[in-house]
Amino acid sequence: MEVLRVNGLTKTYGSLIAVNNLTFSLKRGEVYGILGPNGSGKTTTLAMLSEAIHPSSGEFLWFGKDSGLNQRSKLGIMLEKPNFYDYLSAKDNLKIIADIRGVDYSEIDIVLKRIGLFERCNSRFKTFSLGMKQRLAIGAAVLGDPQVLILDEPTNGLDPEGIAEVRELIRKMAGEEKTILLASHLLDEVQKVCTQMIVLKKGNIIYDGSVNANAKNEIIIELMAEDIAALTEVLKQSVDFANFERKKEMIFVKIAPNITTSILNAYMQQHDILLSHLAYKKQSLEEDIFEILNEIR
Amino acid sequence: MLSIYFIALILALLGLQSIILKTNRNLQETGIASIPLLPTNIYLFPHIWHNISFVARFFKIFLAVVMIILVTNEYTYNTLRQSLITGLSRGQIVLSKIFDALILSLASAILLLVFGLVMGSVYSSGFDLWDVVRKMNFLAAHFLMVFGFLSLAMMIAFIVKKASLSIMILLVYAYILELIPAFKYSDSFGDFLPLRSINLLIQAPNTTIFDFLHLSSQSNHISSIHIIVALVYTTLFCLVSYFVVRKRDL
Repeated sequence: MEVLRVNGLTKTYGSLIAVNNLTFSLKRGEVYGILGPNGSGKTTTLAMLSEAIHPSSGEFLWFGKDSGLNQRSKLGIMLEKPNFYDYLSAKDNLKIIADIRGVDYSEIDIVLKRIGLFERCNSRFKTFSLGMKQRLAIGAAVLGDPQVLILDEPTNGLDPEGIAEVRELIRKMAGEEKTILLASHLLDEVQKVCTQMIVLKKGNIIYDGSVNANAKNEIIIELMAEDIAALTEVLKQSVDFANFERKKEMIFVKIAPNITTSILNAYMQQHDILLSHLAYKKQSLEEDIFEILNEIR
Repeated sequence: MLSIYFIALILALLGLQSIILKTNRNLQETGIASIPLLPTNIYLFPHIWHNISFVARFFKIFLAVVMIILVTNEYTYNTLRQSLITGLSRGQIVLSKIFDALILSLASAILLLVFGLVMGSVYSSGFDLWDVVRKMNFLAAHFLMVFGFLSLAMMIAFIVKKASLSIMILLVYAYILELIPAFKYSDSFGDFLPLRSINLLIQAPNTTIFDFLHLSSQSNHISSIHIIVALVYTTLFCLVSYFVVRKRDL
């Protein structure tokens, strides 16, 4: 089931195109990661989907319907830095959120325990550390059990324990048939919690698909040999292994999926090359992303 | 901050009587006037309502500062965005601030009501219910005046977003900018400028001293034309606030 459909979403600030003609859709129960370097338009995109800022052009439909109040109450949103009343306690701030969403106050304590702020719930927001503020923002987003979660850099400023807790929370929500859209500049984070990813660069989508499917479907084998010149010579003349790259003393061979390391090893022995290092290396997401980003450039 | 306003207003109203008595005595001693120029007892029913609401006219700027901060705080802490993404509509956000303005105006009117009832009972001889309630319409006018002024402050705050700048703009407009055309064109449109028309709701009490000073705008009545103009301006300020918030990226 389609939760969100985005069509040609664009935001310009004067001559700067912050978000350019985005078209994508979200399916129910999936965890999406929006990935991109700083200033690539992640927050702008999420803010538009939250109706905090107006798109310059394009449209988006939540649950197949035009935007509107009833729609937004189904969304749990956390944008950029946590915004709460400095002079109110964590509990009072959540009470305001509960009032707006029509959620019973009894849920506040549950959420406070879930985000680990229950002991400090009567402290003023301004006495909180960045990590605690971030936790409260996540708490505000999940209050009222929304169907869709939009989280902008949710682990920003959290300690390792907090990061693990947020990941656990996201996985748990994903297990409850919730749809999650998460922005991050940390590839690792996306790789760990997301099933789908959208890569943004300078406001453009440059990749939209599964996290696990290798973006370029390539396997890389690392090779080292005493006689590296002979090794490169043999590789150049081969059919299957001609696509390689030399970085210092290491050679990286790109091969088709049906070729294994043992085939390569046998081939080298036939040509009297003694390998000192042979390793199978699945390309990591990080390298995929760098590759995608570089190709665009 | 609100309590500062209340305390300032109460002190001013309490002190007024002694200032008046002192001024009268000075004027008589220096021989300028042989009779008391100022009304000797401003706390008598029913005129107390007019007198105190006229004095309170000069204190509404304090409430406007409160109002400006209520609005600009939402920008400073970015809670406007938080409320919006939590599920409030832009219209509801503006409406919540209009409610704030209503509450402040109502609190101000209630303060005057309580003060008037207490001081009036103390200083008036005898208790005539008709005398007590006869001029209470000045409290309603006070409410409308404060609400109109606060909606102007709210509009400026929504547009400008910064507290200090909003306060400066309001002060410069209220005490300098508007006075020039209001004075120069007082025969034609001068009386219909926003603040002037709001202020004309409660004019100076028709007393010897203001006669003496040739004060043009004095009346013991509230004219309906001023009520209508004030209502129109108030509506306009609220609508402009709404359109600003609706159009803007938060």
